[in-house]
Amino acid sequence: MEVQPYALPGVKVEEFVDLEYGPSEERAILRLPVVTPAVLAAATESVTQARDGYLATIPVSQIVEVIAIAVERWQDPGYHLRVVVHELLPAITGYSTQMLQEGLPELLKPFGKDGLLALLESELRDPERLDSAAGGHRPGKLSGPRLVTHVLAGNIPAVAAESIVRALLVKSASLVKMASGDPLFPALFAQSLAEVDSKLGESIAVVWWKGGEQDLEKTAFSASDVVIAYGGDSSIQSIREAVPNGVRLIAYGHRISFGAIGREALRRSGLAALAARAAWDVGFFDQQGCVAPHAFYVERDGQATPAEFAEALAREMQRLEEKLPRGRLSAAEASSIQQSRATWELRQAAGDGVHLLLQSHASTAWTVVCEDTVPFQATGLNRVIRVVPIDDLSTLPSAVEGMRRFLQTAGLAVSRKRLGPLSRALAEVGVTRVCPIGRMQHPPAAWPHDGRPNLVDLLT
Amino acid sequence: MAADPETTRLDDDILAFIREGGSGPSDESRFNALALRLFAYQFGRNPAYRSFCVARNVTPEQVTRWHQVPAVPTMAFKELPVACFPVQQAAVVYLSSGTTGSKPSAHYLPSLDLYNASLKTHFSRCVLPDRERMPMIVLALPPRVLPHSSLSHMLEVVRTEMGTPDSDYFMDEGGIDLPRLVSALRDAEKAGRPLCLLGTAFAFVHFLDHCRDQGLRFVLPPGSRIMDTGGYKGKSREVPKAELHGLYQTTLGIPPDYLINEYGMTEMGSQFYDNSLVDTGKGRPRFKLAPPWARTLVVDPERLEPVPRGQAGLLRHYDLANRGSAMVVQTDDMGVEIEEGFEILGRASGAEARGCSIASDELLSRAG
Repeated sequence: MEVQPYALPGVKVEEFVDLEYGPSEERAILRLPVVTPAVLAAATESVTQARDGYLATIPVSQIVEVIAIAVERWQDPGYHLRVVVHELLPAITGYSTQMLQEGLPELLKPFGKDGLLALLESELRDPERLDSAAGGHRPGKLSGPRLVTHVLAGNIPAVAAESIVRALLVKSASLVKMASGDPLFPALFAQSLAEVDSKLGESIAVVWWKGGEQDLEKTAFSASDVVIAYGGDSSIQSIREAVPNGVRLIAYGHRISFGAIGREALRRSGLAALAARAAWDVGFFDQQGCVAPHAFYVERDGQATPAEFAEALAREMQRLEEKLPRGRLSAAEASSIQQSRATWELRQAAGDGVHLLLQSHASTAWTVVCEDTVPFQATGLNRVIRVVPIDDLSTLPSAVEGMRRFLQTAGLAVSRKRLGPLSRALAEVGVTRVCPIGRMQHPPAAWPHDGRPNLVDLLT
Repeated sequence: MAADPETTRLDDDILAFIREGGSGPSDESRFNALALRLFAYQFGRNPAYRSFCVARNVTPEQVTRWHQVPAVPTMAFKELPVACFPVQQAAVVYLSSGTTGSKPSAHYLPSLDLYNASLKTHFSRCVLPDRERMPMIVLALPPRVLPHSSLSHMLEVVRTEMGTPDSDYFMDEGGIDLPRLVSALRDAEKAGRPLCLLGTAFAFVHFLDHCRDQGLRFVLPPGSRIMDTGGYKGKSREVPKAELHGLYQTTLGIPPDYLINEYGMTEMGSQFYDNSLVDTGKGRPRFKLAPPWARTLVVDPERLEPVPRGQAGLLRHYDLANRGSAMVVQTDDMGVEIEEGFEILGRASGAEARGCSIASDELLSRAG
């Protein structure tokens, strides 16, 4: 199988390095180009020229078509690049084969034609304002950057696609810096676009280097108009320091999400279905994304109790595990789950606010704990979820407010009447997205990512 | 407080085992018998631990071997009192220094008898096998500054009971007293009087950096030794062990057999030391030597079951000196079994989110 885990249109590379992934029984080796400042300078020059000569001259509707065709191909299990993903990505990312098989098309679905048009129209009203002849200064003309550098985090494959798509829609060339955690999918996504339109593909370069290499960052960032960075606080901080004045930095740092269920939604008849949707939100891509919930606040005095919801959730977590197994963990990740579990058990035994601890048998695959820790806390990830009983959802905003700086999505199951006031109150404490439970993992292309527009912020 | 007869008998028997066990080969059946007694004691006196064990279908009636006793995770010491007695009656509580903003681990001790006997016996075996006392230079903060640090207490006991009268601290809140330290080392060089240097690895690294900057070198008299301990916690640059040993040798003139790394934790009453000086000249690999009243298992992180010998996993310690808290402590330290001990491979703590999400440990370290 010929795999090219990079895209360097118009650049000749001579030196390669092998990265090895996975345990011995499923080892994957990726041969990646050794990126030097000279290689990067050539790459940024090449993609920028391809952008000026082609991408910037075609109508945005044509770009939408190209992306939509590529995204459609990714929906086909027999698509040759998906075969590569199934072959190599489990070893590289640790995600289970089943999770990637079922999850990857789901992650890409929002970037079909309808989703892209909705994104363009919601932010730009009249997207054709991007199309007036180059150099013209018609009033209302919108123009994007020449080059966006994307610094990826590697946790969720689709983040790469989302980021590249946004740059394409504003007709910007892209330099994509893949993370060590996944130096494959972003390159394959770029390849899928190039397969639909090779000239458009020439405006996207995808490479990997070890984060923090200052010479490379300096070369990349100073050639860019915009840098989009994903990652934890410390990596964002170091990128912030490396981005020169005059280059815009759009940083997506740590975020955390939660769900809340009103007593009116806790009907016995619908409990299993509700729990299945909640389990999907937790389990999809092993809780690694910022849209994944770390807790469900469950109101007391419904037909089903919070503990009954926790039990139903545990059953669905087990069912999900059988269908889409949790991925392989590092020792640190598994240890963190073991430490938490045994500590919850001791607290439960000591009568210290832990009502119920439910967990997968002889593995760390999933953990559900029902406990009275009202102030919102993060769990250790990888399908560990808290169910927190709460007397009334009116106190929810104050329960999560301590995490204001990190809050992102709230998945809600409440009556229509309560939805508006509760959403507004949550927005006041920093929540930037509200959606139904079961949809937390599937924001539309047009969602304001962390509360900001996606295209407008790229315009120059 | 006066202990009840059961407690007194148990303490006496563990103490006797500790005091006899300093140099002889460990006595497996006596260890096992004491471990089972201690399990029954802790099962009886800590209701939360009892329920925890019962939930695992493990009770004193069924347990025949020490390794069957359920482990308490180190994290529990942060979240709730792990004790077999009312913690208000604790003689002392040791707190971990921890990272900024995170809860410290708390280890409540009903008395210091077992703690002190354990530390003196094993220190003497591993660090001073060839002499009763020697001059000590301590590069750590004294208990006056860190009253809840088990390390400070340990070094104070060692200094006062195994150091010569001139043994002293060379560090306070303001840092290391570098001029005084340099002159003490020069004096020892001139007098041909071997020294025992004890302290945290980060303090040593700080001093070694100073020596490099100033072009200072010492050839400390034969018999001089270093006991270092602990991680760096961001307080100085991290130095790989091989490089640190090289620096100890070239900067201070201390050969590898006389470099003894200590591994201890707030949650444990006993410590582990490199076998390097005990086994000097035997050409054995370096590993952490447990005292005869402690055992360590290496378990796999996913199932918490012992791994085959030679495979890496999480360290789980069984320590008779933890009479008042929990005999079995599941750590998040990664290690591997070597000879009759183990070596530490690093921390497995702190699940870090791979991307835009966030894991609990990261938030804790950020909340401060």
